[in-house]
Amino acid sequence: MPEPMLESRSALAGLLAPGHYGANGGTGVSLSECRGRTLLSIAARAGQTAALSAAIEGAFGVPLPMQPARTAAGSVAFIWSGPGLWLGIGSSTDDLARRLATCAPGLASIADLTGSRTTIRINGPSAREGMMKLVPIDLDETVFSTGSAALTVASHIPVQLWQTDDTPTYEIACRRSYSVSLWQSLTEAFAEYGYSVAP
Amino acid sequence: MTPQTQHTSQPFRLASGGLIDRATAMPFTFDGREYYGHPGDTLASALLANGIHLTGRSFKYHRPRGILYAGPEEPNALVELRTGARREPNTRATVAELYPGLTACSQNRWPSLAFDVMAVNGLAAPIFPAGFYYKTFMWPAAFWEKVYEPLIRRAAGLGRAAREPDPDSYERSHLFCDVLVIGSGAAGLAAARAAARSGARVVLCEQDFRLGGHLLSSRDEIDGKPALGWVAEVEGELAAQSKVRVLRRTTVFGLFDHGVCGAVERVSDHLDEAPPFTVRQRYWKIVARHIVVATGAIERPIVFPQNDRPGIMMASAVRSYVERFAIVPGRRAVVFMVDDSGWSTVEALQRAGASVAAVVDPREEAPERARSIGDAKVLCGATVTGTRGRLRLSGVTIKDRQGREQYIEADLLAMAGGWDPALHLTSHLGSKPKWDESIAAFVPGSLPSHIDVAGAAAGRFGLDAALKDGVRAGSEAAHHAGFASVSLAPPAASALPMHTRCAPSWRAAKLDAKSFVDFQNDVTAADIALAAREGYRSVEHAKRYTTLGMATDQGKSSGVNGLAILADVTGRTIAETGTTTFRPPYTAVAFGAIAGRETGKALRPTRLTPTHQWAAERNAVFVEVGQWLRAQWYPGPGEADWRESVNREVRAVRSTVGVCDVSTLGKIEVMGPDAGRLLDFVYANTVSTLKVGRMRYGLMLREDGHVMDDGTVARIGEDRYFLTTSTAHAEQVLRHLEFCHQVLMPSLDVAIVPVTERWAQLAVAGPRSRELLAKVVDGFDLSTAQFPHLSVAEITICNGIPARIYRVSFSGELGYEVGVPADYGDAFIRLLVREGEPLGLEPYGTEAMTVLRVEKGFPATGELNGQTTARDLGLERLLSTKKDYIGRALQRLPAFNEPDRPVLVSFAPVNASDILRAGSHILDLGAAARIENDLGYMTSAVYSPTFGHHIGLGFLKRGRDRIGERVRAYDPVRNCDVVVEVGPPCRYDSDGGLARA
Repeated sequence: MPEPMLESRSALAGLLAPGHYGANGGTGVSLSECRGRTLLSIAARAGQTAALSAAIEGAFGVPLPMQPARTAAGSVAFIWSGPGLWLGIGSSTDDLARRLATCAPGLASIADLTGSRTTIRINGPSAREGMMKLVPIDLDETVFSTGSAALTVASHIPVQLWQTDDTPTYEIACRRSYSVSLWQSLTEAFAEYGYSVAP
Repeated sequence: MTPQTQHTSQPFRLASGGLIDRATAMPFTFDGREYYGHPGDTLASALLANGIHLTGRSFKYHRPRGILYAGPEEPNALVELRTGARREPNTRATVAELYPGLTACSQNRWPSLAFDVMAVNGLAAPIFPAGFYYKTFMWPAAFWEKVYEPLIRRAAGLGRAAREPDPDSYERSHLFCDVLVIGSGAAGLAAARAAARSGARVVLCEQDFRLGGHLLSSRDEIDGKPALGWVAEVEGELAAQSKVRVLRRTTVFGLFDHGVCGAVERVSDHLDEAPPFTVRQRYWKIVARHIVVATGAIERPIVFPQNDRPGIMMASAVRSYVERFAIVPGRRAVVFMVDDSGWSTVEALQRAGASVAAVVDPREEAPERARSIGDAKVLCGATVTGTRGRLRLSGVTIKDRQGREQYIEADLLAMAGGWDPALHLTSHLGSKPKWDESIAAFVPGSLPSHIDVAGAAAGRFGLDAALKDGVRAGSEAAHHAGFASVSLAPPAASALPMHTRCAPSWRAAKLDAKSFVDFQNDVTAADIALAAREGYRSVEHAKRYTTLGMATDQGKSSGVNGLAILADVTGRTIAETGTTTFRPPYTAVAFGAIAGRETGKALRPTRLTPTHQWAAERNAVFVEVGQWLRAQWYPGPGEADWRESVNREVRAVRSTVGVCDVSTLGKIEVMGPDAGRLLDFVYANTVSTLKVGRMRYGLMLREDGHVMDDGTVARIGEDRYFLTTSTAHAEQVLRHLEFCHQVLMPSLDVAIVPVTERWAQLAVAGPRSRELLAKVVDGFDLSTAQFPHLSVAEITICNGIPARIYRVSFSGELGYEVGVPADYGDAFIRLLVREGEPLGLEPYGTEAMTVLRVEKGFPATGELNGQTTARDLGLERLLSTKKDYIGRALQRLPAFNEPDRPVLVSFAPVNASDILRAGSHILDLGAAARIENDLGYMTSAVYSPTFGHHIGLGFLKRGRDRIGERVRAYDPVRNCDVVVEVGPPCRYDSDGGLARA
């Protein structure tokens, strides 16, 4: 099959020039965009939540989270998005949609959301304090830690947020159309710490 | 100037002591003159160090006024700080931290502070009593707007706001904690330490730039050490704990429900300019599980004639200026006290080398302490009856126990009128303060269980009580938040108990017209008495009539004196009289801090379409549609105005092909075995009969029977439907669907997933659209035989990119919409334009889209305005008679079926050059323009290049019977009155043959 004729373009294209920005000195926060991910909406069919979770655990090695949280195995992750609803994330080579369809036939309604959201990875010593300027939820490590997830708002933008390690590293996802506004809010909030943008 | 002369230029600065850094001299200017102060000074203390008491003119009478307090309760010393765009009026000099180069100006005076023309108001004081405006400017009524109000406005107001945009930035942030302690005096520090030791997350907020509260101004000892040492020790302990956050320069201005507190941190106010990437102020939303209010107490002035001259200060402020700032605020002082804390002021003044000429105390006996104060004359049973001096106090008249008056020269009069707990925050949630006769003050009323008050703020006065109460409150708060209490012995205080014999004598006021109660609003004892005589006996009425407590200081110093006088003149007790309500904010909060970064275009987020970058490169003009920016039209070379561009775009769609980004339309996937049942209930027409691969128009009604939204429904698979909504209603329709599923039909097995942003959706419309799309689809047969009008298919384009293609037309031409994953939208539109331009393609924007749909008579926002029904829109054939659906019951409403109800028609001007405007009302020819002759209104109007004249859509009574008749489109707002001919809604290709071809 010949190569596709169309090039994919990030909603943040043009804003992601690598470098150090904001206050001089250290790098309080590092930012990068998580590209090339497959995103799926996974909704359990009525009464099938437990069966779906078990089927997914069998296929991927992790169950679905039953509260605002994230479970992950390798590059595949499942993020709670509401009662009976999850965001499935995989790399472009994970073939997530086919594997889900195979392991859980009739247990879930699945919709492809690839490209519908922009996900930004945020970490660094000032990441937690900086994020507190944006989201009205408690990110203290005793409350929100690795594996935690939340649906909330950042600067009036609906976002989904989860923590992937204790650095801490956060990933924040917004609908694609809000990407530039969210990027502006993030970079304004982080400027006082100095921040870097990685490709 | 050399550093030496800078130092000596502060004639009232003591040689040693105080919390200032004498090694550094900082220049500042006040009213254009340069002075020097030190780090650690406030503007007020630096002015006093230079002998300046006179800082402003009062609001109404323009009386000379000086610095009264040493903290945020200051009513008098309000200045304009900084210049140009950063000029900030009404800044309290007592909290403005000195920085090198600070520039301040006095307010409310002309031409100068020392000589103010408006001071004649003071001479005319008898004609400016309480309620003056209400009484005077009543007649004639027409004078109010033109004469009185402008005059009053010019005379009123304090200070001038900057006229330029604020060059500084502000931001908001959030904090969560187990225990929030407000105030860092003895009680607050003890509470914070106790809570922190239990392991709780603690936030301590202090409005000052130093922790310590009144301890900074005292010589008390704690645990046998100077109190300041204890403050430093606690400060160090708190700083070492990662779970404790100490916010200095941070005022908690309001308590709200659920433990939410508002606070403002003055991050850079103590600097000339905020450093790069640093905000000026930060607005904190603090969510606390438990709150300890340890805000201390505010000393109450004494009301006596001429109690407002510069040089008359609160006794506690005098102590602050002596002990904390190492200033002697006067050389020869009189101390007037009804409360024993005044004795500490006597001692402080003497230590500072001032002579205390007299101690005046209306109480009959002096305490033991009085014997050790040297040669000061102690006058018990005496009172101050007047003062002299123009711009500064020169002497005090005292009436002794026998009624004899004597005059004592003095340049400083310290008033110790007793203490009012700073309980304002405790009443923000509705709790009414209650009067405690034993301490002659209001104390907090009953509070929600998550709020506690400690120390003087609770009316428990004295250092010992503050420390004990702080430890108690801090431990209890942590305990309630789920942390194990740590037994902690309260520190032992050496201070003399304060406030043991407070005996306020409000009768001293004598209701004199120069006995000031509210210094900032110039309300006197006589004003309050007048208000009571005129019937304003309720404290809330008297407050508003006299403006007592309504200035920017919100009556922090005047409230209790005012209502005590009101109680006195109305023959009630203070408890019976009650108090006014304290509401947020505790101190003034800058709008900039509240707005944070949400100014200008950042007020709300902006949503960009997948083709935005391409459209911007093509110089598209964008229009805001909700949060979206959409291309409105694409200006072409040589086009004089937007109309020419839009005409070109419309003609391209009608004659060749156009492309338009319609990604903003709401897109929702409804999946699951019961998807069809839910949609049959939500749409007025039947959806479940759709075949896979087909789509139809869908009409959604509200419960009240009016049209909510319209769009298309495509059946992608057996259990999968794809809905589109209008851009404006995307969120509303999604919410509605979720509501219908979760609340009305929870047993259905359905999943509703918004997929608007998954797809870059491009409309490709026009006679040559099929020819263009054939170039990009991967071997898909677009012929009508294989893919008729209202079909949908999942295909690939451009060598394998997944896409969905819909044969649908909003223009009336042969048309398609193609959805590709959003990240490909940019490349896809560039490809279509490149391939399409040889065919005559033009991209078109929302303006051309409107022209095309008005020519077709398709309703949109103007027609789906929430007041129209399916019948009004000519869509009654869609209303199913075979099933239930939302809005069905109301279709029988008589008003909906009233024959006179205006229905959708189109209009065209009889004179082709006439312009039509949406909003015009329709009248019969010759009928007078009166509401009873109103026949309907025009909802959309465009210039149609297809017809060569304007056309409009609108609603007309019995419109379907009047096709071909002439009526008036009358628009008195824009002076339009046009004869129009009524037509059917659809004027272009009325049988729809083009779209089906």
